[in-house]
Amino acid sequence: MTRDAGPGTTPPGPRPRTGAGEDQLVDHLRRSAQGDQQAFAAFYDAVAPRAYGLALRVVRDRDLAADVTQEALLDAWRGAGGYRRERGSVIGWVCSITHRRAVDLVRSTQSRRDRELRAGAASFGRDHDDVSEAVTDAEDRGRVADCLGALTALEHEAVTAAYYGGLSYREVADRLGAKLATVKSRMRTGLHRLLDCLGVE
Amino acid sequence: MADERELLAAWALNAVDEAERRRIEERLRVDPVLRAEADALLRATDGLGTRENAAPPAGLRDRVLGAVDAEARSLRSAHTGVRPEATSAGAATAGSQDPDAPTSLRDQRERRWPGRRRAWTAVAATAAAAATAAVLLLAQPWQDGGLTQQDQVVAIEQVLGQDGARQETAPVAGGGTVEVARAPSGETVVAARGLAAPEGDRVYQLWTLEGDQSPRSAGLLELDDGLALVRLPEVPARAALALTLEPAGGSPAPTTDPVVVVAAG
Repeated sequence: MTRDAGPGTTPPGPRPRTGAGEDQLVDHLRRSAQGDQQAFAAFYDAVAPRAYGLALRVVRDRDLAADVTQEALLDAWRGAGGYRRERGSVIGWVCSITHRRAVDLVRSTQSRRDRELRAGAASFGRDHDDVSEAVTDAEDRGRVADCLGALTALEHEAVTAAYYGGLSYREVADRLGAKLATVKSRMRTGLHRLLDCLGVE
Repeated sequence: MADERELLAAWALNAVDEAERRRIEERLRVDPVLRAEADALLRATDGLGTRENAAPPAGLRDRVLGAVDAEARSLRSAHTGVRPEATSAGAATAGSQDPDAPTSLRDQRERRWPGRRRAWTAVAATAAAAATAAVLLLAQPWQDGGLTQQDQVVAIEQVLGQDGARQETAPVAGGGTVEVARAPSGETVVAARGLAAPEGDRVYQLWTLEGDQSPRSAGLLELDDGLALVRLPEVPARAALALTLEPAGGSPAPTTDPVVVVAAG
């Protein structure tokens, strides 16, 4: 994903719970871009639990999740100067990098096979408890779950199998026995519905 | 056109393949309406992505910070063109008053990878070039077999894996192509293929061109069977890249017309 163009927008998501405010995160990142490794260490402490939590959710293996988190945070270090505040929160930026890395890993055949074995035939959106060490803020989690619950069954499956399962839309179509056009359109209506729901505070 | 719009949600979910992703992101750069919809969809995926939270393994912090430190050191020593134990203040003295400066990069490389004669190099050849070519990153020694296209692909893909990275390919006068991958951070990889061996003692020299400033040397290409690979940690977004043929040892400023220019994004 890229956020290198377009109108300035700020996601409606909550501030990180890690104690570091958004201003502080932006400052850590700005100093990291200048080569300040201490600032990057503080940045790591603030964002690593979110990045690792997301990686774990997608790859479902602690060692692989640690690898993904390491790669993503190195990307963040290298690309710190490319972050633009007007285009989204720091945590959103880090999580988008992490998600991309996690999906890349899942897309490699071997890791997918291992992962499928671990995950069994469970639905990606509803079997999260098997990664019980991922302790998510109950309120946030509840709200996302509520909003996901407002999606139609097909929207829900399409969005969660892709985002948490790391499946491509073609694979999602195979999995659901649905047409490609249907899957693309359910992803779209599903995300818009999710956005409407999450945006209502 | 309609296809990219249809795929936008799948793109926001990272559920498209690489070719589709590139096509969509190219379109997003020129289509503000589509870009606005993309941003909205990304806010929704942020909602899914930023709510996870788990304590990372104990050793991860040291691993990440150690890797960052190693990368920073590698950058710094290559950046200044002085010995690794020297500080970055050495950059200011890497000019003509320091007779060691032109060869120190080579010395340094020899120490790091002794005996690897065909290791990747892009040596700042003259004192003047050494002072301005603060752009060499010796982070990736090649395998013993010399530089391969696979090495180039790996280096290019590493840049393209970064958010917002771009890629361009341009033909070289006299034969061959140059592929350039640039990340928003400025990290840039230049991979040349099929370059003709220069006549006589001439060498290919890489330049960055920014506005109406004088071209800045980014080092000489070491050809390996027509292949060359250069990594530049910080090329300004506005800078174009150019390649010229120069006399042996390179030139402080270009003396011939470029054989290829890759424009700024």
